[in-house]
Formats: sequence, C-alpha cells, structure tokens
Amino acid sequence: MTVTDRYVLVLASVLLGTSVIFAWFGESRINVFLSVYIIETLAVNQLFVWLSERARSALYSVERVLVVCFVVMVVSEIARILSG
Amino acid sequence: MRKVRYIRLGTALSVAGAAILTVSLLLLGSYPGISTGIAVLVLGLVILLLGTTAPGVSAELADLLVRVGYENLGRLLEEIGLNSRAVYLPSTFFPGEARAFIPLDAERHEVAVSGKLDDRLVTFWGAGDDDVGLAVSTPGTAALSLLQYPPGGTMDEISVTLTQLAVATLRVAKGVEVHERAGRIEVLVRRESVPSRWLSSRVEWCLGSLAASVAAAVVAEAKQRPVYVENEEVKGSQRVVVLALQPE
Repeated sequence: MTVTDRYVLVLASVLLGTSVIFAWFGESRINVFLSVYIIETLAVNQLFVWLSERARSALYSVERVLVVCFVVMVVSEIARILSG
Repeated sequence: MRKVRYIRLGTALSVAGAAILTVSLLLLGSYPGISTGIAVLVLGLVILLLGTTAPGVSAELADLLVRVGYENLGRLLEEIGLNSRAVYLPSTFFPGEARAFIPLDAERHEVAVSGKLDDRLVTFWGAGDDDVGLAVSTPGTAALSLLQYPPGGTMDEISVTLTQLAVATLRVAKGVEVHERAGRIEVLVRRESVPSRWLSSRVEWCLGSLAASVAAAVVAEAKQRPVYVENEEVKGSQRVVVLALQPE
C-alpha cells in the first residue's frame, strides 16, 4: 500500500466517521458540517508530509480552496451576528 | 494503472456526493444526508486531484526503460574497462543538475575541482592526463529533481530528505536511518524493495546500489561536497551504506 493509498484511506475514514457522528448526535447546522470537514482535511494533509512533491502541490491547491471556503463561512457568520 | 484508478474513483465519489447532497437538500431535507453528501464530495474532489498527479507511465514501460538504460551503461563501462567507484558531485559542480563522476583512475576518490565541470559524458576535471572520467546521471542524482527544496546539511535534514525520497516517493525501502561515525556517514536502509537483477554487477560496483546512489547524491547535495560509496553490505533485512566525504 502506497503512502497515497494510506492518505486516501485515512481521509475517507475521518470524513465518513465524522458524518456518522453528526448523524448520531442529530447535528443539523450545515456550516458546522463544512467547518469540521475543512479542518479535518487540512489536518490530515498536514500529517502526510511524506506524499510525493506532485501530490503535495495538488493538495496545496485543495487547501487554498478549502481555506477560502472556511474564511467565507466565518465572515458570513460574523456578519450575521453583527446584524443581529 | 494507478492514475486511471484514482481519477475514476474521484469522479465517481464527486458525482455521488453531489447527487446525495442535492437530493438530501432539495427533496428529503435530511441533515445526515447533507452531511454525508458534503463528506463524499470533498473526498471525491481530493482523490480526483491526487489522481491527476500520479505518474502516467505504466510500471512495465518504466521497468523496460530502466533495464535498457542500465544495460547500455553497463556495456559502456565494460567496453571502456572502467573499474572505479563513482564520486557523487553536487549540482554546483555542473551547469545543469548533479552528476556522478566515474574517474579513469580506480584509486582516485578525490576530485579537486575549481569552477564548474563541462556537462559532457567524458569530462576532464584537471590538467593531468589521468584527470578524466565519465560524468553520468544516476538514479540518485535524478531523484534530487523530485525534491521541492535542496536538502539541508544537518544529519536530521539529510535523514528527513532520504526518508521522503526512498520511502515515500521512490518506495524502495520501509525506513532510513542516518548516523555520522568517524568522519563517515552511515545510512541504514530497512526492508529494501528493489527488483533483483536491475543493475549489472559493473554498474552496481561503480554507482552503488539504488539505495546507495540515492543516499550518496543526497549527502553530496546536502554537504555540497563530493561523496563516494566506501562500502555497502546487506545485514539481514537492512542494507548498510557507508559514505565517505571528500575533505574540504
């Protein structure tokens, strides 16, 4: 099993496991789903520093998109709170 | 092929995730469905992007190219009668990338170079008649191009770089340890997985094994000094490579 296979397996286990936990606790906030998945993906990416250079550069582009999504969610949430 | 497999899996998961998300959001109003849809969509997109980075060359073609390259180099070395250990030089010694230099004189392990060498197969490094040898590309010197940053000079940095190359990228070993002992650098390569009979005996004698070649090239680049494989032996499931650095 290659390091990329292991990365895919770990990411799938983490994301789908979290999905089960959300269902178990009856979580219904979509922004919480997105935030947790984004943070988990970024954390798993940081753990797999041994991925090949090309794979890492592809993951950097994924990370950039995820960080932008996360920032948009945080900003919209702040705007919602401030507007009452 | 791994690339096709990842792209198919990534596409299937992305489509499935988008479908689950849309149906859960618009028709069912199911939050567990929305959660699963987002998770599967993120996973699919990541796998799809990873698939585009996998090598597009089949394992059979790569194996064929390696055999042809090594066989030709072995025939060339036998024809010339070179019996020297290669000296691995850092990339600063050549206008292009790093090379291994196989001196004409089998007893010579030190190469006193002032300025850059010509990037040719037959290269003179000094004014003497015997100051000549072959500058060749090796698996180790070629592997340096896979690194994002040049390796650092400390033992820890060398160890991290070698692990990244040998274990994660090239997948020729399960682990690498680096120690400095009595002016030599000892590299322990655990559980090698290199196909047998890849290297002819002449090529292996000159350049070292695949693991030794990678280790020597990384150490030469990290220390910015010429390095040669002084000794290597297999002890059980691990290979011990002893590298000697040219004095400054």
